[in-house]
Amino acid sequence: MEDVVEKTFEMAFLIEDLREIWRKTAPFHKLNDEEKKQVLTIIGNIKQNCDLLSEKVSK
Amino acid sequence: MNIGKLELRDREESFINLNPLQTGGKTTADARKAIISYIDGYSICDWCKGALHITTEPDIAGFLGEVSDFLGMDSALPTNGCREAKFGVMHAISTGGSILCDGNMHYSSEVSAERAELKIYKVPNNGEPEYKINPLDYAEGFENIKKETGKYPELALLTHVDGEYGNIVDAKEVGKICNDYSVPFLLNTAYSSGRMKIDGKKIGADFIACSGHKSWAAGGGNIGILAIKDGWQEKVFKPGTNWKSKPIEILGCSSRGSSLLALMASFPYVKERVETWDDEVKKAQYLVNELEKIDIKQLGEKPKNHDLIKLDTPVYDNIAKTHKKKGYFLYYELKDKGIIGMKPGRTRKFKISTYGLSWEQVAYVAECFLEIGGG
Repeated sequence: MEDVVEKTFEMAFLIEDLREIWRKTAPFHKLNDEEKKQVLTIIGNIKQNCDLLSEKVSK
Repeated sequence: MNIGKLELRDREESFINLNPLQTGGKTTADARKAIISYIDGYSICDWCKGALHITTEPDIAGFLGEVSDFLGMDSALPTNGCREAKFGVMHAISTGGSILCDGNMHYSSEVSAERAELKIYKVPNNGEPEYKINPLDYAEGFENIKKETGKYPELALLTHVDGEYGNIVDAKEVGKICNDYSVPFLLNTAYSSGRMKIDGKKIGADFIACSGHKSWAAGGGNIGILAIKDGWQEKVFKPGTNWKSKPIEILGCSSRGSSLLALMASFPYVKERVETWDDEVKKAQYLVNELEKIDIKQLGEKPKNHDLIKLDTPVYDNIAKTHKKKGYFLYYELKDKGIIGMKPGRTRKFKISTYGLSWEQVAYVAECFLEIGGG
């Protein structure tokens, strides 16, 4: 699989993990410490993938 | 936010959804990932071996074997839904005779029987307020049909949990009667398998029909399962005359899309969640106990043994009489509090489901209903 494609899917899947957290904490999304950590990890991984993609397409 | 002309659906993310039709079909993150990946038409057929149920990449064949074991049955096929599974059995069995069904059956059971040209007889429920089906009435039903037509019915159908009251019928008792009379037994588990443990062999079922999008955390379209006992393959899974790998009753290949992959992706989670069914029942019982503190009465069997709850709610009906939003007030007040899934305009009788909610969410739902009712 092309790296750009793999990273794109990886981000789409990370969004689904994030969506899962909003589902479990609806309607107020008051996150406990564990959930906060999960959200921040997901966002970090998305950012990392975005950076890799930006770098790849900018070359 | 819109998707072209379509409104974005964020009910599961932004609200607590109580719609009984939807709570058990709420997808897992893995199901949604599978759907994203297999969203294109016929993408499930990349490595087709001639029929969907024998495909091994993705491993549909292996999955169906696991599902049969999970249901305590011998073989299984994917169907386009539970109703298609029921119709497949009825069509395969029917010679134009009769079928005995429970009086709480879903409309799709009735139209399936009609389409299969089976004359429908019903075991009535015991009426208000519990609307229960007595398993022993199946024996009486068989005898009445024999008296009227000269033959026992060709099939018996039981709705394990009905979609109106959420009553659970003792399927094992019905299975025993069917086996004593040698009447094939079809169990509709649309509201049970995938939520609670089902053992078809212990029950004595010949056929089990399941709904993936109602109770197995699957989405991305319709998906069902038809599981059968050994001895019925030749009749019910019979292949086409010139198409030896294509079962007639599912028109060769049934659900040819992402919904089957969603079912497969959610299956590990479903196997785990049936273990916590008792907790789901406790949540439903808790909510009923709280709501009955005001002028609300739960209909159907008591105590509740299922998450689907039918309520008679004079308290909200009385408020609606003088409220400027009339019968719509309850829907909008709940929506303002982040709760959805009620039919707009209903205040006298309605159905809700607590399935899959956390205890915190159930407590909040109870608090909101009581607050709106002035309790």
